[in-house]
Amino acid sequence: MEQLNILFVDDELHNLNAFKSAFRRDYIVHLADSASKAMEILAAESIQIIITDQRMPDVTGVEFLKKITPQYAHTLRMVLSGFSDSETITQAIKDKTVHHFINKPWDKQIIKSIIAKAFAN
Amino acid sequence: MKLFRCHFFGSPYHLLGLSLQVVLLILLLSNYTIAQNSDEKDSLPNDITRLKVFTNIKNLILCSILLLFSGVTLAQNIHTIDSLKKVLKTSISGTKRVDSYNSIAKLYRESDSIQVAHYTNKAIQLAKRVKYPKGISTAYVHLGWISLIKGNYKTSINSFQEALKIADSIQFKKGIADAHAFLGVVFTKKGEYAQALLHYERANIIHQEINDKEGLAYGYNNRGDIYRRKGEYPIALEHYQQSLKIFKKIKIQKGIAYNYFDIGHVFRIWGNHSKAIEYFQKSLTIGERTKDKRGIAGNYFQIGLIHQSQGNYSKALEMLKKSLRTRKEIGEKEGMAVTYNNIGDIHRMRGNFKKALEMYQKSLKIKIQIGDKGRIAVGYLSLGQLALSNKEIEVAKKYFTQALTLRQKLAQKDLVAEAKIFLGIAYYSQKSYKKAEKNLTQGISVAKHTNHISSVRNGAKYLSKLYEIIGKPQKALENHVLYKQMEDSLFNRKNTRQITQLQERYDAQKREDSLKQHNAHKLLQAQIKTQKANKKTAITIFGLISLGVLFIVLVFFYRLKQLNNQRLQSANKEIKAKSEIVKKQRDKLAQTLQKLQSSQTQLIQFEKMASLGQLTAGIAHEINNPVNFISSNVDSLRVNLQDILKVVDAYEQLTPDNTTQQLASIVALKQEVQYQDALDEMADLIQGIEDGSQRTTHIVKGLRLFTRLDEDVLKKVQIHENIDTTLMLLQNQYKHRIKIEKNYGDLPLIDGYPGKLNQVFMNLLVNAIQAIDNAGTIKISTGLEGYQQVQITIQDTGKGIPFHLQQQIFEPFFTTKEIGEGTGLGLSIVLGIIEKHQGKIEVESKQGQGTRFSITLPIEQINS
Repeated sequence: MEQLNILFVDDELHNLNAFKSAFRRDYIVHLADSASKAMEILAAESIQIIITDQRMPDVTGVEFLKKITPQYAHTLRMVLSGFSDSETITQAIKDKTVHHFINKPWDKQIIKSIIAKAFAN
Repeated sequence: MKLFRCHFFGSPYHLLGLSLQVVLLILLLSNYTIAQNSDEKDSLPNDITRLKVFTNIKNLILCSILLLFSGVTLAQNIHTIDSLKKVLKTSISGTKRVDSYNSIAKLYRESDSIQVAHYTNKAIQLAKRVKYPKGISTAYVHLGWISLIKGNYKTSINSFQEALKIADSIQFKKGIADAHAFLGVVFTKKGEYAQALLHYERANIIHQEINDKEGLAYGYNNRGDIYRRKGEYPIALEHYQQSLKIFKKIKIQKGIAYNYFDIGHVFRIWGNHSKAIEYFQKSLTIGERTKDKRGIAGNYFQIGLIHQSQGNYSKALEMLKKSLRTRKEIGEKEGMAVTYNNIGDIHRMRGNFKKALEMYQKSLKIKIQIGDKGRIAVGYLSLGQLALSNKEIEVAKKYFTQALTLRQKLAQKDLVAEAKIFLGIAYYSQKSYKKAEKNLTQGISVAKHTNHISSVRNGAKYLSKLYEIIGKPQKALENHVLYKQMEDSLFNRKNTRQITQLQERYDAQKREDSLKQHNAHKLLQAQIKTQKANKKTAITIFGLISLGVLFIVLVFFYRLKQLNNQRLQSANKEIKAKSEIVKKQRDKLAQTLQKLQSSQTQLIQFEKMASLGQLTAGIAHEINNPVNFISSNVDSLRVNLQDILKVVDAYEQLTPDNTTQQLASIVALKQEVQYQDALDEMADLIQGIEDGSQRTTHIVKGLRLFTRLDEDVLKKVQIHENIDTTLMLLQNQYKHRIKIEKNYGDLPLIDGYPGKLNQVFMNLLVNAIQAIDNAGTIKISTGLEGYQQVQITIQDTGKGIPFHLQQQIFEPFFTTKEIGEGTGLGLSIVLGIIEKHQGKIEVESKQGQGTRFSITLPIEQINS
């Protein structure tokens, strides 16, 4: 099976490093430390999965996903957060901007199984 | 005779009045008889004789009244003045008229200077016309007195000297002595003590000669004042006690009150505040009873000073303002000046320098106007301290030096010491340690000698710091111990508690007294009513002479009594029932109070939980981030290590025989396990773990500060650390949205309750964050506020508080949030915490522009 391209967005450098080392064996990992950087990567690469942190300097994770959803509707979109603080995430899941919500600290296996399930067919 | 009946009716003296009337009647008759007899002998025309008799009687009446009232306390002043005025309406002799004018003037002396001037002028004019020098002399004494109170010392001296000259010319002994005594008082106030003592000595000799007890008593008190002003407190105290003893013996309340006051003053200087307050309250009680406004104002002032030195500024201000009001009312310039000065001190302590300067200037203006050198020195000292607080050290030094020079000139030992110590402090803050050491050491040594505790304390405090800086730890320690000793004696808990208790006891006594007075008044009214009723009955009985009618009346009265009894009984029942109801209501109130108290505790607890809730969201986020990469990195490290070990294994299987083949498979293996990637990222992974664990440690440490919410022990607090911790915990609420500008000054550690202060910063910062809708800035500035306080301001660029709500924000339950979102207790708890720290909090806000909270906290907590 061809490896999936995954884009991980987080403003915290340590999280980017951690994500890459955790998932580089299973996917082709692309990293972005801001929403704008993420847009560039989305334009340049063919990305199947987007995982973003909720709390970021310029826009929140949900806002970022809302913006790109029309253009990249086929992607699998997930939001990561340290604290399930908002109704916005629940709302975003309802209107299918976000497919999954994951709490920090993440469980590698859960993320992998979500992806596996989504791309089973 | 009707005139006198009216006068005595219903007064406690009315028995005396009655007997007086009898005596007068007898005298009138006998006089008349004598006159009739002499009529025969001298054959004077009848109407002239009658006139003479009439005048004699008038004089007699006047004398009797004067005699009667000489023993009555000042509470009867108005009463006495009224009757004296009535006497003046009758045709009495010129000299008697002068005496009456003078008597009225004397009675107005403590309360109304305009009246004094009015009556003395009348007395002087008339006395000159009827050639009655004694009357002129006495009038001049009264005139001198009102100038003295108003601080016109020059005019005052002139008046007393005039009085002295006249009294001397007619050998009016008491007049000479009194004039000397008053001259002594003026010179004392001017700070010319030697001159004053000379006058007192002369007065003393004459008072002894004519055995004037009152004069002698005042003499002791006056000399006591000089010793007190010179800092020789034990001798002063002895004099006051001697004076008190005599006044008690001759039962002159005013004198007793003045000595209580002066003794209290000495104890206050010695730092024995509870004893001082006890004396002031005794004096105040008498002052209020005798309506001596000057005395009352003085006592309020002194009590205010005690509260001030205990750091109870609001109570002190209340007392001082009370004193100032009264002093303004009676135009007591000297007292006004002193009070302004102390109100200024309080504003200075509270950090309100502008207001302080205004008060000091008002004070100094009056002092210069009245030429009171001693007090001018005090004014300079205050201005110096203000300059010091403003960091204008050169200006401060100038003022301190001026005060010092003036006090040296006045030979005020302990006050010279005080000025020296302040000068030393100024040098200290300029880092001129040599000069500072010299001034402080000299000052302390003198202040120790005169037992001027607050000066010793102040001096020792700075000398200790100084020695620490110049590296003499032994001496630093010695002075620190001295400082602590003095502080303990000034502020020990027992002392403070006693003061509060005394204040409470006094207030309770006062309430009781006013209740008694009220009851007495009612009783009197009842008596008058009964008397009127009795009169009516008598007339009725007189009208109905017949026995039968009398019988009917008796029956009627009998029935009336029965009816009354019945009424009484039913009234009793009613009272019983009512008191039952009152009792029930009281119990109910007690219950309600208890309920309220428990809800209050619950609410405060709730507010704490609310602020904890705010925290949890932040903390969860802040902790979960590092925990995320720590745990992920550890996992990655493990996997990487496995991969690397595979490669290592492959290397170990390397033998001379299989080199080429094995190396090829190792290359393939490296490719397979992404060997280079694993090696490359190891450093990053470890770095992540390190940073993450450091960050969590930091947060947990911060949390520990917050769990101290209930801790009730004073600690040394580093304010910046507390603010930073709070900011860190709130990061998730402002990060990327709000810019935090820190402008931290150089702050010392301050005394405080760290957990409680965190709660303050948490509340204010959360408010600031929530006030900013999108992007904005929060400015946090800290700095020293004078010598004894620090100031923290938190300023946001948020939506601001509407002007009409600014007054309410510190009130409990006031909230602009939706129901259930906030308790409305946040800022009221903040205020409570700040007050517990003896600090203050102020808010400035403009709608649409932002809000600024300024907190001022004392560096040292006294009083606890």
